Amino acid sequence: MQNTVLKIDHVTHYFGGLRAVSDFNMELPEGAIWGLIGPNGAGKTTIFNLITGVYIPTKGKIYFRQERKFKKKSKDKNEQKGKKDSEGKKEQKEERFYMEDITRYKPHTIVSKGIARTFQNLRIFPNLTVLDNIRIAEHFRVKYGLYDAVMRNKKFKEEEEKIKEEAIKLLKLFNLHSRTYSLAKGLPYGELRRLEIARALATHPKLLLLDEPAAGMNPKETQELMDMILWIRKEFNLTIFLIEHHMKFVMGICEHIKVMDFGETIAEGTPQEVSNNPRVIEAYLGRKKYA
Amino acid sequence: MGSIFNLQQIINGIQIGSIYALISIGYTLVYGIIQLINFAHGDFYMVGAYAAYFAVMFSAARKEHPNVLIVLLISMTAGAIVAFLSNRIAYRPLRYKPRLSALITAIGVSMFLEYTSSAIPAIGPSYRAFPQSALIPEHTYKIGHAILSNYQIVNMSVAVVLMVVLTYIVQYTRIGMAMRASAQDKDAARLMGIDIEYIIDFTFIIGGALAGAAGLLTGITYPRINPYMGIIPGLKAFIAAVLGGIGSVPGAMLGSYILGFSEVFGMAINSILGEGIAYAILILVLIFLPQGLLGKKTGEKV
Amino acid sequence: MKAKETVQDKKIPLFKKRDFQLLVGTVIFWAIFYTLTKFGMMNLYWMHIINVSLIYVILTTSLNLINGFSGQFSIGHMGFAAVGAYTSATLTTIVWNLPSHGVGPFSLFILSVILGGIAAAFIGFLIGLPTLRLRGDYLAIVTLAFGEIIRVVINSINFVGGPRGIPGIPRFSSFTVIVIFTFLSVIVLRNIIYSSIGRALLSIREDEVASELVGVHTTYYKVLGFTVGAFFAGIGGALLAHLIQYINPLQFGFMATIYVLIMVYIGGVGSLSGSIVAAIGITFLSEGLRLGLDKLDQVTPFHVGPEWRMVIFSVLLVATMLYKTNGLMGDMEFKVLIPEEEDENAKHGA
Repeated sequence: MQNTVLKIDHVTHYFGGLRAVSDFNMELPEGAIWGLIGPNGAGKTTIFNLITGVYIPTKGKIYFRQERKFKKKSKDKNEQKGKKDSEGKKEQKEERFYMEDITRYKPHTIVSKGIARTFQNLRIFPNLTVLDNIRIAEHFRVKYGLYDAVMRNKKFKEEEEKIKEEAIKLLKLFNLHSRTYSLAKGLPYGELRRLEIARALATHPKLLLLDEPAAGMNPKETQELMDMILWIRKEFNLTIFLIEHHMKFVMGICEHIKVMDFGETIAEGTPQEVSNNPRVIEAYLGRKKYA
Repeated sequence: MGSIFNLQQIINGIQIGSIYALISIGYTLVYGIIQLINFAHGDFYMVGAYAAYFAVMFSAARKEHPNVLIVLLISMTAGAIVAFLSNRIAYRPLRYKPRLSALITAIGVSMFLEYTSSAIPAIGPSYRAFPQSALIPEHTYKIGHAILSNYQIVNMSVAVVLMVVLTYIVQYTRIGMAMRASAQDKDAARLMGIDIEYIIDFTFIIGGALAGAAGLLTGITYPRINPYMGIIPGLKAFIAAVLGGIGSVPGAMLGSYILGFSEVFGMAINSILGEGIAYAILILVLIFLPQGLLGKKTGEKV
Repeated sequence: MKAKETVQDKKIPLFKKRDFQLLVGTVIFWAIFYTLTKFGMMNLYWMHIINVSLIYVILTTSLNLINGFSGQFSIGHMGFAAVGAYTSATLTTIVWNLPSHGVGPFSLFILSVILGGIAAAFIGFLIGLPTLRLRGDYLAIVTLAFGEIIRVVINSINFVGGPRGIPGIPRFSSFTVIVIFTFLSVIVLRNIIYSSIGRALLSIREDEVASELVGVHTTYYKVLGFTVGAFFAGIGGALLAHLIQYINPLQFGFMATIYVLIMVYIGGVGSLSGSIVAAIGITFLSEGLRLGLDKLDQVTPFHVGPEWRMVIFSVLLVATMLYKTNGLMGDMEFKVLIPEEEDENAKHGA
């Protein structure tokens, strides 16, 4: 039995009168790579925005697997308390893990819980160095406060060294080491894509959301990206959920695919099943032919 | 309390509200299209007041009786010209720079207008009496306990006529449609063949003209003018625009009248703290209703 | 491996070379002007201008933390300075009624300056908390309105003199005191900027949504930056009150803030060095212009008012925005103001 990392439970979301997502359900198993496909405007990015707390769903809940810490947590006390009471029984069964309701959490809290993402249109910090881009993502793990920073004391220096070392290690893994001190805006597109993934990983996620990672890449780069994603999963022990238009990419890498159209889930299954599904062909591939 | 909510206060409220409305429409139009808080907008109003002042003084010197409509036209033209020039010289080159640089530039333009006016010996930094009786002789009417002057009647009726004309332009003319389209989506409007820069020029001209008219109307009813007279009404008109929902013309009008009434009643209750009521409204609106009364909610695209 | 070695190397100095240079530089600067005044070789008027310019360094760098580094837009900075000035002047002049000499009164004065900063920080926190969730230009309006509210409130409090202000404040802000406070303010701001907090602020400036989505609690940091900025504005205001010995609500109006704002934007958005240079440079330029315009007024047949000075500044501000949007120094720093371990990462000019 595999554990569920992320559970999306009957999520519906409206923008004004428009239903962007209707009754979306998902149980993402640990260590999997799942894909989300569908025509433009199907609501895919909205799903990512709902998971990461940018939007709060009109209806439904989102749960994320958490390791139980036996110490009392200080963050988001109230929200957690309410949840613990109602989920009390379920938690008893799983000893170390429980599903935490993250539906109404703020984006930065969700990041600290272990969900990181990249963006459809790159959103790196252009006027900062590559190193700073990474260090900012490590920021919420920094253990010094305003006082330590002002005094530049031993604690500050040790922590700073630690995160810098970690950042440089990460940059080396992504072959961005030579760019450490370059401004991010000067980097070529492919390196920016890698930097964005590295930045997401710097938050130490358990679940990585990739929004069209292969956008704008040629076939060779796309192939490299596929290899990289598989490698990331192994190296960082991650679960990955991605949105992509590139069919070969999705079919080649994802174990399970969900297909959306007009906010509804119209099909899901293995790449094989999905690509043979007549509704998918009609809604997605069919439309593409005329486009 | 009965003495506070009387007819006189209502008249005063409408009158102040009308002036705020004329200024805040310009704020809201400009903000709607280029998302710029044009700090210099209050100074267009000051320019309008001075243009009227000089027009009246000029005719008085020639022993002629000035025509109100011509003076109104002169202040509107002056406001429009200054607005047009500040857009062309200062704001337009910054169109694709970060929004805050345009905001700082607006502060610079505002300072420039204020201090240049007070540095020019013909205008000077001190208060001047607006020769309103040379323009229209004063009449007062008694309605119950309230006193209504013909200045107030001119003030309110000119404001209403101008607002009706403006609403007509925005709602029913080709250029008005283009303005609304540009406010919705500049890029789409451009692709539809709308010359955005032309629309922005036009928006500044309209806003400047209305502010100029407000300058004349203020001169008639509160006959003291100086180069810094635009700062506070400008700020309050902006608050009115925010209250009504920035970007919305009916919102700006509604917000202005609400603000006008609150100020008049607030001052009647406590004259020192009443001065601060506009700011209190601003802070409450921003906390509880950032999109304003008639504005649309906007979310950032991720 | 190499990276690791350099990290180890940098552990050694307790008293870092660059901090030392900065300290020595400041002491030399202080010693020169202190001796010149002591021996009467320095015009007291210009000494006063130096003091004022150093206080402007505090005000400008702290506003730069808010407007330049974290990308917010406050135009109520002098409102915070007013809170600081009124808090400390009320304490020293009205409550304690201190004489202007003695160790005891002097230490109470120092305490009042710190309390002035804390009061300003508290007000900054109260204003920042609800408004910093809003977009930058709304913050501008709220801070502007705040400046007006401060004025209305102070006007209505008789205890602090209402519109008449507080006269007869003891002159505690000596050159030495001002140099020490300026030095400490700059160092503290620098240390905040080159830390995880500073990076969080920068990321908010660059892309607030992305910043939130890599785990930065953006509201918290915006409020923190705003509060720290307000604290130093309060310190600056308190020092100013004890330098010019008289305060009234009008001194801290909108135009006073604009003056500081001009320094920030002409000096460089996101550059402490730029703020320091601009604060000193513009204070002197302003004084020079004032004297020059006076002369011009005497020699020309027509009247040349002091308003021309502000006309020149407004043109300067608009021209800077049009031709050098990020100010003269951009986000470059002088090397002495960059902590050594950030050398490679930071942009420096000189």
